[in-house]
Amino acid sequence: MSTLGAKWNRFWFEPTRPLALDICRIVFFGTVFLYFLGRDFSAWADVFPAFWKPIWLFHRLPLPVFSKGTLKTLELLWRLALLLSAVGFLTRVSSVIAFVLGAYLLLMPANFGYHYREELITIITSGILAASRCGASLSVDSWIKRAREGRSSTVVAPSGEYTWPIRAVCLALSFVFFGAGVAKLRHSGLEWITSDTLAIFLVQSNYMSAGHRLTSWGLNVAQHKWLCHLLAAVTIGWEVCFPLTLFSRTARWVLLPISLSMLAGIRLLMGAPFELLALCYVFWMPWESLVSWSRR
Amino acid sequence: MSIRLSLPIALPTEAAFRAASRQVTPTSETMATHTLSRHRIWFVHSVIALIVVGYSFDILTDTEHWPFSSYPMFSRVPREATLRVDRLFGVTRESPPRELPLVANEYLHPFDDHRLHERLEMYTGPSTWSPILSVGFARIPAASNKGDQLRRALLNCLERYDAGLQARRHDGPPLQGIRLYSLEWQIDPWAANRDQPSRTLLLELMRPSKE
Repeated sequence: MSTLGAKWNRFWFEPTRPLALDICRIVFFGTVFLYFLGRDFSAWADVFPAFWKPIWLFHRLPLPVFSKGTLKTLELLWRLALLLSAVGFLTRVSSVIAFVLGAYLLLMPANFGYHYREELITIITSGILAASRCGASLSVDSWIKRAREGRSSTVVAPSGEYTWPIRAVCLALSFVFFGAGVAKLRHSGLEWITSDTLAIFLVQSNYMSAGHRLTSWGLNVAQHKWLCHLLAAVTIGWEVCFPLTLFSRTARWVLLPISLSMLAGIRLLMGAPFELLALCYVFWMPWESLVSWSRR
Repeated sequence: MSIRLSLPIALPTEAAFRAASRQVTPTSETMATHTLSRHRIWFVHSVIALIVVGYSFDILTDTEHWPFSSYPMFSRVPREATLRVDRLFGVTRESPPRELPLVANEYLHPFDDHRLHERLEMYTGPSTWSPILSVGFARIPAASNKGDQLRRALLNCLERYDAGLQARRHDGPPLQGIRLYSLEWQIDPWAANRDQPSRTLLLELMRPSKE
């Protein structure tokens, strides 16, 4: 058991430098800021009230839809918090604000109908970063601290503080894919692979409004039954096996490229907006090695 | 790294982390250190537990408690040979008037076609296009006044279209009214009949003519 405990501790708290976590923070908050730049959340204040069907969190707390003015203010604060979190200024406070306001603003539209579940991982990741010390080195905060102490450069000691947040995001992403795979097996079993399910979904998505769809290539793929069966098998395979990437380097080398390619493929063929899920792959990147390699 | 453990899954001590840190970077330049206190480690474990319990519960029970979810999209084998969706069409003020499918996000703002389509199902019943299995926690409101509610919902859509036009969020034509159709297709492998669905008018809402 003590070996298990040691492995557990090493997995979560192995001392690492803050560089990787800081890069993840910059890329994540910066991209989320840009991704939602054009979205107007305040318009939900004008929507027909009978459309309101609260999800459990809004039902339990209970949270309302605020007035247009209040929503605009919250939206502005959220964007500011995202930006400050990305540059690492007042990182602890700004990342907590980014998480709390982001959770409200991103979940609020779900009370009015279909929700893009791909956005949920954004909330989880924001929460993890808000709980972490993600502004230790590459941040305005650390620059100010250095300037105050009259140092031109500094080395931040490795710590488990910079390891666990990255692992926690990877864990959450593993649950996302594992859950999707289990849902397919639970509701359809292997018939999801052996039937024309994927081909039908590819064709059906072309009947729906253009919306998020980028191409009509799915129709061409749907004509090849063997290809659809193969893609369906690969889909369920990588989804169910994805948690292995937490523990196995080999699994990471195999499953991460496959899963990222599949996300891109689904985006192209069916239009499902998976950009935010793909964004979380920055937490898998070996940033320390990449930076060392680039400095050679 | 050597960490002594006394519990089945023991928490590492601060001293152990400091020792580990020194092993990795023995530098005199080191200024900042973030060692994990015992309270902090418990806090981190609470965060991890929340993630594990939240996702595991939803996956095991096949439920959704957002931001956790069991991600059930596209998990059911489609059995229908037909596809039915409800869609809004605007009726222009031109003479003769023409119908404009209100599918562009700018027209439906802040809704998009998927979200509005799913919400209209509260009044018109489920369609065959459903990438999801469940849509939330609360149940659909009592159905006694569905017709009136649907009429008001459509009026709200029309008003938001007009507001978008005035705010120059879109450049669609002015509308005289709005119609809700149920569209149905026999699925074609090449979606060749995409623009020729059979249509059933569910509800029409027209403004009085200004003549």
